[in-house]
Amino acid sequence: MALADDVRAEDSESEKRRPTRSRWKRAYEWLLGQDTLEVVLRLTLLLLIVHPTSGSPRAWYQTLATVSLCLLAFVYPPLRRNPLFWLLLAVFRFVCVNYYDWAFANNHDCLLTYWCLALACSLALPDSKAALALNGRLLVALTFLTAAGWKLSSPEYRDGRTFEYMLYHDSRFFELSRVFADFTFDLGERNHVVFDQMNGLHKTIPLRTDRLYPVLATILTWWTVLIEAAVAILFLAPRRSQMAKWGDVALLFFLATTYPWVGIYAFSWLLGTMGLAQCPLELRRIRCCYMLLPLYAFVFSEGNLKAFLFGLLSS
Amino acid sequence: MCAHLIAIASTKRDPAIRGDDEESEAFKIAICMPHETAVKCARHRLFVANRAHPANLRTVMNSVAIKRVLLFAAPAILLIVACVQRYVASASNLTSWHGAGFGMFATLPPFETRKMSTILVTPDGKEIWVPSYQVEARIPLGGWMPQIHREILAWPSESRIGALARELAESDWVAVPQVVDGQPKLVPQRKQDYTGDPRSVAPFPLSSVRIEIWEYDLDSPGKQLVRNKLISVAETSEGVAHGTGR
Repeated sequence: MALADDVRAEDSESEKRRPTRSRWKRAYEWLLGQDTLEVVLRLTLLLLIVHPTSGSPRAWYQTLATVSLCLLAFVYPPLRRNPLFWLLLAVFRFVCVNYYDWAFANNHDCLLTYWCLALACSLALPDSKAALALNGRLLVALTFLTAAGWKLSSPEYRDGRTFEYMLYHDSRFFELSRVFADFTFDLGERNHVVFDQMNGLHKTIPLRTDRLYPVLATILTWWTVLIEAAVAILFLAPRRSQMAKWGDVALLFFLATTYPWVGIYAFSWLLGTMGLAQCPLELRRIRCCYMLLPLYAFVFSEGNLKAFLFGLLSS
Repeated sequence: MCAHLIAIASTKRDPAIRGDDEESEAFKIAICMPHETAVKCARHRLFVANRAHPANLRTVMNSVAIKRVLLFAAPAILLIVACVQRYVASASNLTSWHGAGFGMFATLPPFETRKMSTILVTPDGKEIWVPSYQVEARIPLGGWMPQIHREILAWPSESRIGALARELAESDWVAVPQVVDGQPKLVPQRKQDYTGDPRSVAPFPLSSVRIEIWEYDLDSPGKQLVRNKLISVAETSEGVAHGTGR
């Protein structure tokens, strides 16, 4: 009797659990059932809405124009499928962001302009999806190739100076420093006072350091350049080769572990969107990861998730 | 009859239908077709011919050369701009962080490590350092770092710095009495930025303005930051410039 009751209780519990599981499954299937081109267009429009400018103080007109155009395209599908719309956005960004505000424009701002141009060109072609996949693949590969090339050709990067400086000075790295090295807020604040003296008048400025910093800087230096070069090579490899599949894994790993942690969610979002554009339909899990990456990057970077995780790690 | 003849003639001329042999099946059909059918055929052929006209966008997009241009335009621009940026950065003081070269984190960040010093030179050779906020005050845009200051630090070129130095040298300066470190001093300030009564302050005699860009580098073994001069440009109010640097 008791056994029958147990079985009945288990059955009712599994019935309760099943709808939840099937709901997740349905959501997963729904996500994968979406048209890739449509998702790519929507993700790009959303990125342009939340990150319309390079942050220049006079960029209000860029924000106004970009956000209103993108909102219009978001609610009116024929507009976002029109190559001329993307060409207009690309030209506008080339002039206003890449050229006029070049000193404010970060690399991802410039890349977003190229991506708008790639969308315009791809939508003008008969096989838009294939064209966009090729553009996404090449843009990711060339971005990582040039980034790795710059780093390898820079002596101050190769000897670890750049990351060591960032660990001392850049507040985005303070949390990482606290986890791996003995870096308290006092040390950070003290170094900030030191950096305030960097006004061109002082010949040398003594710095408070930690013995673990050069080691951590060396690890960061070579890890970054290694994964960037790997992504570039894997994305340049022929699509049908076995190596190509690992390109998506390497890119996703890089995007999830790098940019959101230093607060650059837009770069992660954009490269993830490009990754999705070139990802074959049969790689279902990877496509799903690409689709969810922008949300993860935004929440991780802008929300309190990063501070919470670092708090757990340092405690 | 005329339409019939046009239909036959166009069928005859069209290699796609006619083929190499004039006695092809389509040609025979066109010769034998009744008048109404020939008119319809002529209209259809006109429609097809118009659609295939080079001015038609679809046809243009279908051309192999245009397809290739559209396919590779964005990646090609990315690569060209990045290569130019890398070359310019190695030939001048352009930072790796800006200019679409994808060189973020390849060098030390420019806006923290590069500093601008503005020095006023009096006719008797005395040099007075001007705090940077006074120089930046000429930009009416506000914000956390005005455009020209940011451009100068990101790419300190002789022409860009010279323009700022010339503008400062051509300005009228006044000596404003202030207490600095507990000591009364006459601090130079641009007349247009001075908020008090300009008649109450004496003019500040100025021979030239020199702007220097310094870059701090990390000396890891020595546990210190070391200053290196990137470029120095001097301008007199008469516009005679001389600069040093890369």
